[in-house]
Amino acid sequence: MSAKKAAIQNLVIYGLFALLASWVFTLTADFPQPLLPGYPGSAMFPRLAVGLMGLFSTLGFIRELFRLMSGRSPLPVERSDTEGGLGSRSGASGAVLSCIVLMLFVAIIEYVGMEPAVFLFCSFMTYVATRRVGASLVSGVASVLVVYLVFVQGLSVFMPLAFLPRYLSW
Amino acid sequence: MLEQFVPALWLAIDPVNIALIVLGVFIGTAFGILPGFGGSQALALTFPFTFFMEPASAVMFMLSIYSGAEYGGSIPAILIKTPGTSAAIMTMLDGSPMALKGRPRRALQISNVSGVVGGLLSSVIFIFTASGLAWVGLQFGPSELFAVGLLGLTIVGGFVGKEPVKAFIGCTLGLLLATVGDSSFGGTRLTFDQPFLYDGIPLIVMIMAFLAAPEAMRLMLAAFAAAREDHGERTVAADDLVKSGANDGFGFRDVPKILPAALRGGLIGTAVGALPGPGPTVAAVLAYNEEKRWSKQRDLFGTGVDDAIAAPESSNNAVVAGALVPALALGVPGTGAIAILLGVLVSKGIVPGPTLFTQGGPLAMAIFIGLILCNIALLLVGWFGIRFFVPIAYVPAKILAPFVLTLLVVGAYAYDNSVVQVVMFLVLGGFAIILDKFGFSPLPVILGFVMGPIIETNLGRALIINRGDFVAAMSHPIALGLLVLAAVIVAASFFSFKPAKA
Repeated sequence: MSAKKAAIQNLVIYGLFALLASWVFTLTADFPQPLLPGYPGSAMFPRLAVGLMGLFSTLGFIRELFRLMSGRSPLPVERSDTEGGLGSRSGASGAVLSCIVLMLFVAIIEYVGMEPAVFLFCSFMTYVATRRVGASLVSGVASVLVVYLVFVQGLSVFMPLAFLPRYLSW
Repeated sequence: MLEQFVPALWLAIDPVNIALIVLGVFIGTAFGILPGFGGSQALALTFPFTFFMEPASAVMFMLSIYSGAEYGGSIPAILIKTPGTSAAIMTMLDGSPMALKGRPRRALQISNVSGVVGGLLSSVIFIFTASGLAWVGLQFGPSELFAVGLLGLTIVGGFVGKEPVKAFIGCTLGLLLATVGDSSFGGTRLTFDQPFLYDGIPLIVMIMAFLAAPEAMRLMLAAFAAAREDHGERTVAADDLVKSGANDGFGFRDVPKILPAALRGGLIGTAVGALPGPGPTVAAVLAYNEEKRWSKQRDLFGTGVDDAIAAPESSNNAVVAGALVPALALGVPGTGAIAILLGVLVSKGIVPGPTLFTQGGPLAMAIFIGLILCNIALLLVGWFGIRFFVPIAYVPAKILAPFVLTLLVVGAYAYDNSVVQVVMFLVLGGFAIILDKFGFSPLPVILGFVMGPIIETNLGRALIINRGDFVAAMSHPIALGLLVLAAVIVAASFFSFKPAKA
């Protein structure tokens, strides 16, 4: 990433945080008023937090602007644009795919049960990464067993189960 | 505090707690071996297991995982030149050459013993300094405790990441997120009429989203890109260890030789750990550099010198107890892992701070004894069980990543048996990944989130005592001094930044 692009990126980020701080500050106007005179109301601490956020964002914005105008570059953002990282094209598509599959996993877990959901999720993700059907199936089954034995049997976590308690329970 | 020793000892040596400590050391070491998973990530992933434990058991379990993870990072660093944790990079500098010379077991045992020496030294220092600091803390009123909290956050902001402004913004974001939900001053805040937000954002969801999700996503992307297919090829050093059952030169009689370096490293680690922000990596770097500066073998550093492995390993393990000092005594966590430990205490209804030492019963002393037991377990596990951990270093990311993501989702679900928490985790995790991409470290966000309620409570009390007059509340000499120091740190961090010429 070029120095100019990085500086512009930082400008946008600081600007967004300054906007966020301003917006939340306006929201605090609707917070309950202090119960008694001299008591801090519910708005006091959030205002302090967003006040500081606004201050730091503005300072960062000004410095980034100065940096852009004087031709100085910001320090490189680490670990973002390496091959396969989130900043690369392949990394971004991988992240989007992971997010979509994760959302589907969460969406179906209460309808189809924990075992099929975990199996499908782990098998699919392993298949995408390895392109090996056998490894994917083993990964899916092992994950289901570990989650079931540790969380359901070991820690007594209530989970929407489809069939395992009928065959594997004590 | 010493009068609590006997009840604390009974609490610590409870068979369940001993079993949890040993289990925690195993789990932590295994996590530490996996590249990308440090103490914070290991604790974030195992946090859900503590829902079902007593407070003392939960803290001992988490401490043993943290200690194990800090040690575990050195195993792949020595054997396959792939540090499991960032702090283990310094161990790799001499550990890997020693292993390649055919002495992997010696390197691993030096790492193990010196880590234990550092851990024990800092545990002893912890008990004396923490109770002393807690006494100082007891002299503080709410104004001073508010100022201490704010100062802690500014120190963290000044140390974390390359751009302090981003770290400071992260702290304020954490403080803001901590205000979501019911307010102790009446009404609800930032809930947008969503009932699931009335209780606020659960700490476990925040921790998993900000500390574990970015790392899990990176692991998943690495799997997709096949960038880390096998976490390093099987090396001669690893094969030597697996095949050789013989001791290759380091025995208990050799311990005195590395003891001075380990003690120096331990002292550095304890001091660095007590500062909010720097963490084990800075401690390891400092310890290595200091050892190199004073060593008669300084020219041989980098070729496999015993002291060069002992000092950084000792220091990075000593950080654990060192960081507990301000965390338990003043409620100021210095690292992400310690913030999670404080989160465990808070989730059990225990407020960290000076009163923990005076009104918390034997818990504080039990934590100290637990730390010693952790180190003993670490010594035994590391000394006798090392060959069982070696295969973990070869688990490929493409197998591991989907399982880690599954654990995160199931862990979030287990908190409340509800998909709502999982959705919250996904949203916050996505946000954390985006912040991470733009150079925002997740650590200040978590520290701000953990310390937010403590800071707000103390500020509220200070204002009530002073009838709502903020200036009067903060004009107490100590509070004012701490706030001025915080302002100086912010200013120094801001102005010391020197951008490179394009």
